[in-house]
Amino acid sequence: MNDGQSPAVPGSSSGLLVEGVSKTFPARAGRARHDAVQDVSFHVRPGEILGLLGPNGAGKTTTLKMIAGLVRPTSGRIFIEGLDVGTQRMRAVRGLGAVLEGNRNLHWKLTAGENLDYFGALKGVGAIAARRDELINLLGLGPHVRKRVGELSRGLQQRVAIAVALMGTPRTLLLDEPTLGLDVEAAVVFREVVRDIARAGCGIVLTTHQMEVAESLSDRIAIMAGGRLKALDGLKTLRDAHRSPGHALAFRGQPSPMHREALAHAGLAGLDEQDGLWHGVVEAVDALPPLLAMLRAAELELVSVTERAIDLEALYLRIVTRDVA
Amino acid sequence: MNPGRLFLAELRREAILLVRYPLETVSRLVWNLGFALLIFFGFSAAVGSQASGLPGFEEGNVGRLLGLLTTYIAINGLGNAAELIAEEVQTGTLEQAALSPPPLVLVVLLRDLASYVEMLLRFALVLAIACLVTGVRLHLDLPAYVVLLTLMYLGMEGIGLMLGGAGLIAKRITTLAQFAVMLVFGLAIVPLDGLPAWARPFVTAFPFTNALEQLRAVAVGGTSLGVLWQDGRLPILLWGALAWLALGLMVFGWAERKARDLGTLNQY
Repeated sequence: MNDGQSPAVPGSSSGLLVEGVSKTFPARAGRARHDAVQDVSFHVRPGEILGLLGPNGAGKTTTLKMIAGLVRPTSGRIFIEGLDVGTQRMRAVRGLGAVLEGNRNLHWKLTAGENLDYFGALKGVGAIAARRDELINLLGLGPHVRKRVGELSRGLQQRVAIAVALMGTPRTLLLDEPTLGLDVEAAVVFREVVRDIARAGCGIVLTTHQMEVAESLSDRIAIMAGGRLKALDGLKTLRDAHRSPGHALAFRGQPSPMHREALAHAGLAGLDEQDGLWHGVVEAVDALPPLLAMLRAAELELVSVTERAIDLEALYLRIVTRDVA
Repeated sequence: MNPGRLFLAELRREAILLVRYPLETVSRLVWNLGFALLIFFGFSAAVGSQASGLPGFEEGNVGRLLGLLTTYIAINGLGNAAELIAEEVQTGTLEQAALSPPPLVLVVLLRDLASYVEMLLRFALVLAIACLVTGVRLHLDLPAYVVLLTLMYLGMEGIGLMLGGAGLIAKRITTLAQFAVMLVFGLAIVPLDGLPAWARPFVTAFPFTNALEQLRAVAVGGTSLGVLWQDGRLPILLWGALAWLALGLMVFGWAERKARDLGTLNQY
């Protein structure tokens, strides 16, 4: 390693930059060679939250571990604030915080405050006491700072783990399954904390299997499958790109069999009654006006016409299953 | 990164745990003392009055006490790094250490040295109580004891780091660590006359046996560090300890890089 010697790469000095990173684990006893991550690239700007989604084995955690320097990429490069993790690890990880194993990353026999002090020294923090107090306030740990971590609830342990990750004032934060095992209240608090951290200018990469967490927190969504990055964009852009064409119609009334046949012939598909409303889908936009005229003629009351949407879960499944297929 | 501050943080962590779990602390002390007295009063013959590779054991009461406690420290030096890796891998804290700015080997080394400081204080207390109970009188030369024990510990730490490095890759190394302890202990108690001629210089110069022989010289004969230096025994211990430590650091560094390649650094 040549920490501290190599100059920063121009143009990549802000946030986290992952450039064409691949990881192949060699064959070992009982295990075949495995291409865990293949040619993954993305950039996370300061203050941005990137939700990294994918099924188990998609390569998400390996990607995070490569960013953290725990796993060395087979090819490609990773920059944190312009510093190459491969050749300048010691300097690069100063700008990084990570919670990769949740509450397991803590010394359970020490108190929350003692953990912060210890990891502050490990991360080379200058004014440890001031930074510790600042984080205790930010994360609402005041009443719990003198309790041993082993005595805390999982939600509080998770907050202590985040405080530890933030001790070095990182500009990039990695969170692997951060809300796993949290109750609803703790998860809500946690989401607020993550938003506050991002608002303070920290770029965040979080992996999760909980779509509502990704949807509520992420500025952009990345979806991995089979070790490859399958999609990367803002949620709205991804939805627009992957939503089904057409509109959903809802109307009230009792269409006769003849009317239903005529509506279907005019392009209204999947007609079905639910809770006193009839729902159907029309894919071609130019089929809408004649359909609406038919509804009026049949004295059926139009309730709504909406552009068909796709939620994140459906979007995710579409992208992931397309890959499997 | 400031290694001094990190060392102090490790010392503080040790101290907190000693105070927070008093029963464990006292039990450890009582166990060490009880074992020392048990060996002293009951098993001296079994330990080997004929052992020539472990000179302390030949020299009666003083030798037996020193031999036992030095062996304890040596074995801890050997096993600390491996145990630390195993424990931290289990708890998950190795990951935080591995993704922090200091090299992992420095974190492991400093934590082991903090543990050594605690052990040295415990050693002194056990030795003092044992002397009171048994009536054994040592020649009190504390700087000499600290220098000799520390050099021995650093040498054993080198071997411990090699085991710890193996632990980063292979994860389960308990049997290997036990084998290493038995090998070291066996080398120490086996009669020198029973070894092939080519092996004798290695056994004599091994940090554990070498330091123990010099500790006995200090405790029994009142030999000073200056004399040990001039007659060449202390330089052999110094360079031997540094060589083992350097080898341990190199092997651990290699193993850490290999573990980052294989992805085993934070596997459980």
